[in-house]
Formats: sequence, C-alpha cells, structure tokens
Amino acid sequence: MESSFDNADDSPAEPSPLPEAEILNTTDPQAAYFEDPAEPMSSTGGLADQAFLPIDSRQITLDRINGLIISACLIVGYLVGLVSYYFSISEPDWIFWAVNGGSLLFLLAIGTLSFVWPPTEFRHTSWRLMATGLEIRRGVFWKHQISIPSSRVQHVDVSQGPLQRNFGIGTLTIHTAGTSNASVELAGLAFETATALRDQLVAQREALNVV
Amino acid sequence: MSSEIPEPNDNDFAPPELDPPTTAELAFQKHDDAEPRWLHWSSLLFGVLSQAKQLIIPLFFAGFSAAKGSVYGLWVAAVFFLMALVITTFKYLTLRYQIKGGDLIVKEGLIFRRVRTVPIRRIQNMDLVQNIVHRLFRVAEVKVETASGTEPEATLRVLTMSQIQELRDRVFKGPERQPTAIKSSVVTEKSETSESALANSGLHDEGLVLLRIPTSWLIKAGFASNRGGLIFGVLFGFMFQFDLEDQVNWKEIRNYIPEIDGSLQSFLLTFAAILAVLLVLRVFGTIWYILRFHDYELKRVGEDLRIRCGLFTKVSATVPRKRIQFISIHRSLLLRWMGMSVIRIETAGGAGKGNEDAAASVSRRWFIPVVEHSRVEGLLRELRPGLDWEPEQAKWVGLAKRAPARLSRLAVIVCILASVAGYFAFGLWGLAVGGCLLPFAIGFAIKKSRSMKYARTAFGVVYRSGILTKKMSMTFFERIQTLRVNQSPFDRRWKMAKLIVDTAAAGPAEHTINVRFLDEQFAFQEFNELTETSARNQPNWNP
Repeated sequence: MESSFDNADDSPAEPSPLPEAEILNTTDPQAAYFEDPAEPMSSTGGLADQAFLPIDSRQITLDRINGLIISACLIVGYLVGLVSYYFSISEPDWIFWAVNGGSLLFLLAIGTLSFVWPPTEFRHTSWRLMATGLEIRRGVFWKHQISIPSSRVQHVDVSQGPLQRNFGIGTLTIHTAGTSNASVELAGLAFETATALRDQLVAQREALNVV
Repeated sequence: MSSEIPEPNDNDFAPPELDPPTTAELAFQKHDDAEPRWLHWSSLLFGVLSQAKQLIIPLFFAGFSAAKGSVYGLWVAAVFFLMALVITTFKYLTLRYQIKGGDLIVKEGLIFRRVRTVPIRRIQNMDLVQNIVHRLFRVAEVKVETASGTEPEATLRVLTMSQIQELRDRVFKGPERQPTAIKSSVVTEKSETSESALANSGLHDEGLVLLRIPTSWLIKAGFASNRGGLIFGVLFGFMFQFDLEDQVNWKEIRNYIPEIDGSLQSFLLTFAAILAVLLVLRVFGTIWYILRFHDYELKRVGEDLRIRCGLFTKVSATVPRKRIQFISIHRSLLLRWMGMSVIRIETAGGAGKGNEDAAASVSRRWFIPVVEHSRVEGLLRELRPGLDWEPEQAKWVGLAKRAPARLSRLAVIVCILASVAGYFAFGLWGLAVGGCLLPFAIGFAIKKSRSMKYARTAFGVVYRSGILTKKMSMTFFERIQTLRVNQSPFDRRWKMAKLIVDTAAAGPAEHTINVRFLDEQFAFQEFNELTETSARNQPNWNP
C-alpha cells in the first residue's frame, strides 16, 4: 500500500522521497541556508530554485515517543477495562473473548502505526524558503502544498514543548491576515532552523516594506 | 476628575513628520481647547432602550407572568429597568469626547476609567445609524472607524446632527487633512463651490453619485429573494419560546382546510395555497428590502465609497476603496430573468459576525443589494481603479477534462446507494429509485463541472460557479494571503487537484476561491505563478 502512494510521488510536482538511511544520517542541510543570516535572501536569487528540504529527522523519534505514550495510555485504559469487566461477570462468555481479541488487535495496530507512521510522515513533509516566501509540502494520503509570500507574514511564532525541548526541535507558526489559512504550522524543525527561518522571514518582509 | 489619571501621551500616536503648526492649525488648536463635550441628553433614552433590548426575553416572561396574575415578575422587571437606568445614567454622566492635539479623545468610566485616543489622521470614516426614534430627536449614532478593521474605534451614542456636522468638519476638513492627501483637498474645494447644501442627513453633500436604486429594483430584488422566510422563522421562534402552540386550536384550523381527495379541484386548491404562501413570503421579502434599502445611494468621495439608505432606520456608511479585498457578483435564477445582479464586497476583518450593527451590515454584508446587470462593469471600475475588463474576454479555464466523468461516476455511486436504500424501504420496486434519479444526477454532475471556471487576469484571480445561482468572485494579487494546492488520493488517481486562494475576506460573500477538480498540472502551475505574482504585488494596509 505504501509503495503505491510513493509511485505517485514521481510526478514532477512532488518532492522525490529520500531513502530512509539517508534521512537518518542527514546532517542539517538547513545550515547552508543560514550561512549569512544578516543578508536578506530577496536579492540573492540563488535560492529561488532551491530544492525542498526535509524537516529534522529527530522528529521521527519524537513522534514515535508520542505514539508510545498514547499507546501506553490506551493499554492502561484497556487493562483497567479488562479487570473491571472480569470481576463484574461471573463467567467469561464469548463476548468477553471477542471484545478482548478485538481490543488487542486494535492496540497492536496502534502500536505498529505509531512506529511506522512517523518516518512515512517525515518523508512527506518538506519546505523551502525562496525569495518570494516560504513553501511547505505535507501529507501522506491527503497531500497539500502551501505557499506564504513573505510580504504577507503578519507575525511568526516559534514554540517548543517539553518533549520537543529535549530533542532540540521547535514548531514554526506563521500568521497571515488570511481566513482559512490564517496560521500555518510547520512542526519538526530543528530549533535553530526554526528561529533562523523566523528571522529570515521577518527580514524579508521588512526588506520588502522599505521599498 | 480628569486629572486623576495621566493624560495619554500624544507622541505615541502622532506621526513622526509633523509639520510646525500653521496659523490655521493654531486657530483650530485654540478651538480644540474647548471643554470636553457630553453626548446628547437623549442618549439616556437610547441607552435604556438598548439595555432593554438585551433583556427582552426576561421582560416578556415578566409580562406573561403578570398577565397570569403574578406580580413577582413585574417586580423583577422593574428592578432590571432601574438597573438599566442607573447604568445608562452613569455611562452618560461619565462619557465625554473631545478633540485635542490632533486626536479624538473619548473618556468614560469613573472607577474603571477608559481613555480612548484616536488620531484624527487615522480616522477613515464615521458611519451613522439613525432609526426612527433617533430621527424624532434629530440625533444619530456615530461610529468612528480606523483602518484596523474589526470594530469601530469608538462609538458615540448619540449626538445631535449639528454636533456630528461639527465633528465631521473638524475631522475631515481640519488641518490634519490639509497637507496629506491631495484628493481630499480637491474634494473640499468642490464642496465649497457647490455651496454647503445639506442633503437629508446633512452629511452627503459632496462626491460623485455612482448609483441610486429606484424602488422598482428593490421590489424585483425582494421578489427574487428568500428574505420573507425570515418572518416565519421569527413567528415560530416566538411561538415555541412561549409555548403558544398549545393555545392555538389546530383542530379548528384544520376544519378550514379542505380534504385532499385526489380530485382535480383539491389539487388545484393545494396548488393555489402553495402559490399564495410563496407570494406572501415574497411580499414580505419586498417589504424587508424596501425598509432596509429605500433611497439607496452610493457615492464616491475621493477614495471612499459612501452608502446611504434606509426607510425608517437610516444608515450612512463608508467603505474606503483600498479596503476592498474581494468582490463577488451573485445572480440567482429569478434575478437573471429580470436582468439584475447583486454585488457584494468583502473588506478585511470583522464582517459576518452575528452582532454587527446596521451600518456594518449594509456596508460589509450587502453593499449593492441589487443593480441592473448592464451597469455592473461600470460600477466595478469605480470600486477599484483599473478594473477594466470584460468577463467574456478573460481566458477562462474550465475543470480538468475528466472532471465530468469523475462527477458522473460519483452520481452513479450515489444512485446505486439510493437504489439499495430503496430496496430496503419499499422492496423490489425501490430499486427503481436509483434508476429514476440517474439521468438527473448525471445531468447535474455535467452541468456543475461545466459551470466552474477559473481565470487569471491582469489584476488578480476570478472564479465563477453555480448552476441556478451564478456567482462570480474576484480578488486581487496584492490581496492574496496564502496559496494552497490540495490533493486527495482520489484527486491523484484522476490527476486533479484543488487550488485554494486565501484572502483576508471574512466570508459574507459565501464564495471563497476554492477551485476543485482542476487539472493537476495546471493547478501546480497556477500555484507557482500566483505565488510569484502575489509576492511581487505588495499589500497596502495603510491607505
């Protein structure tokens, strides 16, 4: 199933999926973007046709841990349900076993998914900064691509939860004056990349406003 | 009293490049030093009325319980009324407005003081609302707006017409306006030559009239609209609110309704009854339109569009041209037959909220309630300079080639489901349901896919859709906020995509530019093209 959707990625509009081994060895390709953060990119032009960049690969581990936490919560809930159900009936009947089997299968599926899904999602998330603004691509089955011209940026937030802080990862939130896409989120950037991106976007906007 | 808190620091608001005051300015400043002014005393009355409006349901309950012989409810109502009176008196006594140092200052409150300072240069418009009671007292509500959009910066409820005229003169013709916009100075010259003959409200005495709506158009619009349905909603709402449905003798009413026995006569009677109800609804719709938009006049004064309308409640509203984000032209089936159109605009911010007032409602939600279709293009040119284009000349792009096939397939699936449902509901004959539906569903699918069209023009993006009610909406490159392409798994199978053009428009036009079923390649190409063009066109938030 996975492979059939990857085939769709061959269309010119989609980013070429990176092999997983390469992803895990990624040494922050974003760094090249911010070698000289003082200079706004609007004039350089060399970045205009930059390839899409992946988010930080630590996001995979982070998402897996999140998945693990959710699975653990579900398992605890399941055990509580199991014990109380067991004591409430005199003799386990077929319903008991059916519910049990179903729940176990469900838990197994959730557990597997929380392990398999993060790298898949990671492979389908990418971004690029251009002279015109920021572009983000996301989505495994329901894909979307969004572009925010830098002059439309109202303000930019970089946020970091406790788990994210452990991994050095941040979430970039860009607010525009729009309605249906009034705020655009990009989670899973290295914290430094996120702040650099924020500074860059604001600098680009300011450079445009001066003109 | 005013010395208890520090005066607002003028420097925070004053533009940095203030010229040294001229003699004229000094004269004005002398005038500024006049005492802060109170609102008109009738504010008390309107304050109580507006408070009472919020308490209308408890008041009704009080009335009912009183009618049933319990005085308790009346006491509660009296207490509410007294409270409203005290609150309004307090508000009235503590609210003062004043023009000082180039700012409009509104102070209110005693314990929690609030001082609002609006720099006169930033004031974009002063909207007026004048209902029939206001007119009795020759006063009106004034809303002072700046470019911030969402809410009026200050509301003065209520001022006399002479107070308003004075305030307007001071705000729009004072020294703050003179050196800045050339256009406004042209306007003032014009108004001086055309002698200050004050129109009805005394406020629309200048500018170029773009449109006047005669009553015959309003009647047409009323007939074409479903507004009349509102009256039933209100009636039923009241009935169920107060459990009145028990008091209506339904059986009695049924005696008046003839039996339907399948004869031609009963069929005709039913038909006539339905027609009569529809007619009544349309008449109510017409009345609503006339009440609201009687004597509608749209003017352009410099860069502002001014609207004035209303039979009992008169509204005067201003929309700066530069705040228009989105223009939408709607033509329902009936309106098309009559050769009429509706033009709606969207400005940034707060429109479409439930509690908007009459002025905001007219200027943001309605704008031009009805106009002859042949005049639309001319009006568009006035709404936005350089909007010279002919819809027929634009390069319209339809949906992907296979879109009709995709929608038809969807129609077939729906019909199969309907058949299955029919089978379970009516047995074997139920299978025919889907068969009967199929031609209509497919026809609808094909028509729908043909009706959706997209065009990129010199100024922005235009999208049109609709089978019965045709809508055509346009936005401009500098108004586009974000661009987005969505692709579901189904889209990918059909090599299609959805293009979403997001603007700051808040939604009363009910026609966002979300174009589905576009050819995949075209959608991505437009996405890139639009990204680049809108990045090149800078937004201008400060007119």
